[in-house]
Amino acid sequence: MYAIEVNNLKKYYPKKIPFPFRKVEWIEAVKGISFKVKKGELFGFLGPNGAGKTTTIKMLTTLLEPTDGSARILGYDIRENTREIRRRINLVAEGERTLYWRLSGYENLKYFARIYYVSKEEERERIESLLKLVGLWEKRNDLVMNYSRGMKQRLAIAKALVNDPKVLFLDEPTLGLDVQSSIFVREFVRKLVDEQGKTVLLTTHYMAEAEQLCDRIAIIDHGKIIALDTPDNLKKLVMNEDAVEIRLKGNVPEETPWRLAIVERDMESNVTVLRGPVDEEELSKVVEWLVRRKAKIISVEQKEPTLEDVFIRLTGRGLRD
Amino acid sequence: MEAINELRALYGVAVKNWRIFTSYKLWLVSDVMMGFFFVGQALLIGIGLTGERNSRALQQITGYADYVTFAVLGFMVLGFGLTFLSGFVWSVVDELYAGTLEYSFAAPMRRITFFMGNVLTRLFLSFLYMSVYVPIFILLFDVRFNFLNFVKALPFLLIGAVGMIGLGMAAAGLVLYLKDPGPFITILEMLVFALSGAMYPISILPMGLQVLAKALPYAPTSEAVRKIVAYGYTASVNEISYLMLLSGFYAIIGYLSYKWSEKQARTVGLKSY
Amino acid sequence: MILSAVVEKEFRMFFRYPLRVISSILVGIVFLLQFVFFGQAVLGGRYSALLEVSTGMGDYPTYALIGYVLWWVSVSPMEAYVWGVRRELQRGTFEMNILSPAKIVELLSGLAISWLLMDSVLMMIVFAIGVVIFAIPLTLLIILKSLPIVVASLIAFLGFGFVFAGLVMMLKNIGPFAQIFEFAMLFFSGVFFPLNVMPKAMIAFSKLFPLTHAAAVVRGLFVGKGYLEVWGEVAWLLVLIPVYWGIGYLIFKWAERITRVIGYGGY
Ligand SMILES: Nc1ncnc2c1ncn2[C@@H]1O[C@H](COP(=O)(O)OP(=O)(O)O)[C@@H](O)[C@H]1O
Ligand SMILES: [Mg+2]
Repeated sequence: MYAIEVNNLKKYYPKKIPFPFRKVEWIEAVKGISFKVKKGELFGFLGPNGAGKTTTIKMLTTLLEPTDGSARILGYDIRENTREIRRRINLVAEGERTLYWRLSGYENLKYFARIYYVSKEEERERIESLLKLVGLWEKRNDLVMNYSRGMKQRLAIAKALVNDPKVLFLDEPTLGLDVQSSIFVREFVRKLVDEQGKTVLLTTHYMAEAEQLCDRIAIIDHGKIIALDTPDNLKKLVMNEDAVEIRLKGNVPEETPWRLAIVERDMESNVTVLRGPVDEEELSKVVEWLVRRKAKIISVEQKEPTLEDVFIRLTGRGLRD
Repeated sequence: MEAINELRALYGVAVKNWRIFTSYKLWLVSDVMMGFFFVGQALLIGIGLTGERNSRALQQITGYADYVTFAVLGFMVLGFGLTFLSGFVWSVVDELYAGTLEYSFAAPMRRITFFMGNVLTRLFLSFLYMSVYVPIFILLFDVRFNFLNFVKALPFLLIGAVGMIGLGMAAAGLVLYLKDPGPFITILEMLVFALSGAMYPISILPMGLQVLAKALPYAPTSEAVRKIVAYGYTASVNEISYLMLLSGFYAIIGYLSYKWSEKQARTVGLKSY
Repeated sequence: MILSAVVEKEFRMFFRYPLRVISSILVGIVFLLQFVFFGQAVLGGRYSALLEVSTGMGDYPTYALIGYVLWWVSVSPMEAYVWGVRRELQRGTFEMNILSPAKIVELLSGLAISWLLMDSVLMMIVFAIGVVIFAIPLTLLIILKSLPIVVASLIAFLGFGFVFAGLVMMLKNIGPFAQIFEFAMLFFSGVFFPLNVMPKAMIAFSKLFPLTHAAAVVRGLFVGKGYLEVWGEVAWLLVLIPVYWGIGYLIFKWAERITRVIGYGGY
């Protein structure tokens, strides 16, 4: 049995509230995705903003009704067996407003422990060990509104472990965190899988994070999975291609005749980084083309292929825009 | 040039507020309905209790036999007056909660311009409400008063407003530095509500509350306005002079506390939520 | 216990800000004072012969206070659901609650009950202050006799409140709707004036509100009648309770279904 089994899942949001007899238009957020996640696997969902990552997570965690298709979590159907699923999973939701800011860290966990039916005997011990695990034991009695962003996220993770879930969902868990906190979160999640055998599904739009952390990755764009494999295998897609990074100053046309995508852009210094599979013969043409358009080339570098190149190859776009 | 820039800023603030207000359409509807609710309630209470449209008892205390007219005038002064208090205070607190207050205050415009912009919008809204209320009240509830005298009373409504603005500014200055401003403002509003003499003459209140009512600018304003509408200027000299004195006093208090909070903001900074 | 967990959490947050308690009490009292003082000013006293003829109770402050307290009791559950859900949406924690294995009805009831507990304490304080300010003649026996009716009003609206819980979940913000409904009820149930001053159609319409009957029964009890004499009104009240629950249940179920399609998220 798989931990997560998804079959042609779709979600269309109504643009307005669908009162009876009202005609509404629909936004196609997820357009039919299928994948399977094994137990004890760390599975990543990689895609740009608006790709449908959050929507997928909400459907799998039973918060949203799918429009079509089906999915099973630990063998339970997400439509029929919501309560069985909810007992066995948990979620770190997107953003920082997912806890009670006017309660202390301890009070938050106590509350969630109770609505997750954690028994009275276990409650104290579990909360204490979780708070220690995420390094918040000293701060347990401070109100969450006084926590830093990183501390809030660590508490959110502790909350998500309060029912000792078999499957854990994390929606962009490092978004908006400082570097240290991001590293902590990544290592922590990896350990959950390696040491406790939990199944984890996380979403991210950070390439490096997905590459470094996940056992397998589904690349999602415009509500569809466009590639799914281990990071190494995904990179094999572009292994024989060269990855070139061109750093330049000045205006760059959005469209070029090559598969070059903007992967970085600094408005202030007007520096743009283009990246894409360009071989040696083409390179001089590319540079010439750019120079003719008044771009000032700062550097041209050959790079190791990364997931970014996979995405560029598949979509012709960078992940950031 | 300076002055023109300031005026443009004032206009900018007013327009922004207007946009925000009118974006809550249902609240506007419910606000307007509130007026009908109060006055309708007054009419039905009067009829249910006395069976008549005039009250001898009320005439003895206030000179008004027609209790609905009495309530309408009081309600209008109150609505007008709360405009300033709530307008000031909530505009600050709403922006504080939304996290945009610092941006507004960081702009080069004077802070008083920010407040006045808010007041301007509220004032406009108030007059808009009144222009809806007055004709409908006259039609629906058969409210009768000397219209010429009503116009004569308007300047004193504005003089009362000076005092109300002063109080509003004092409150707004204070509220910025409270831990939980919401309930504090509600408490203030309720005190004003109870002591404004809108629905009943304040002489019906216990002595202590009467003194408090006299000390706030609301009841004196509604008393002056009512008296002028009923009897004209000459009979109302006492009320008028007291009102002017009080308004002047609050204007000074408001100005001073505004200065204080200006200084305070720079030393301790604004909180964020 | 889910209920106790929710209640404990809400209480913690409420009592961290004690000023809220005072402001709520003040709002309650001022609202009452407005109308009672107005009535007294118009009457030139507290006794109205006309009121006695039309309703059986001539003492206006008592008449108004009874209606007002029962109105408060009826409105309280609706406010409880509306604000309970609204606050969770604003805090961003609503989805995290839905995600737990606890039943949604349990969570919502917990929110409503915490509010009701706080609100009834406030209401009792306002009632006590009203009794003192207006020197209402009162005996323990009358209060005890009235309690079943108070409870019945509460129960009626506890079910009906689910309409509003559903609507807030679905629409996220229904503030003015709830307010308009609450004031309409105040108006049509004759809280501050006798209903006979209204047109016939409106009087008939007012029969649909449990509050109308509850107020009539308690006012009857206060002037010394027994339950047998006001049996008709009691029967109305008992019939309306299941009707209100039924409507509440249906609309809530429908709104919950829609919400699962559009998402529980806040904004
Ligand atoms: N509650 C909603 N109602 C309507 N449209 C939505 C809602 N939530 C998300 N969307 C739309 O669905 C698409 C996918 O969004 P989302 O799942 O949040 O993407 P991601 O998490 O990958 O950034 C976007 O186009 C977004 O605008
Ligand atoms: Mg997302």
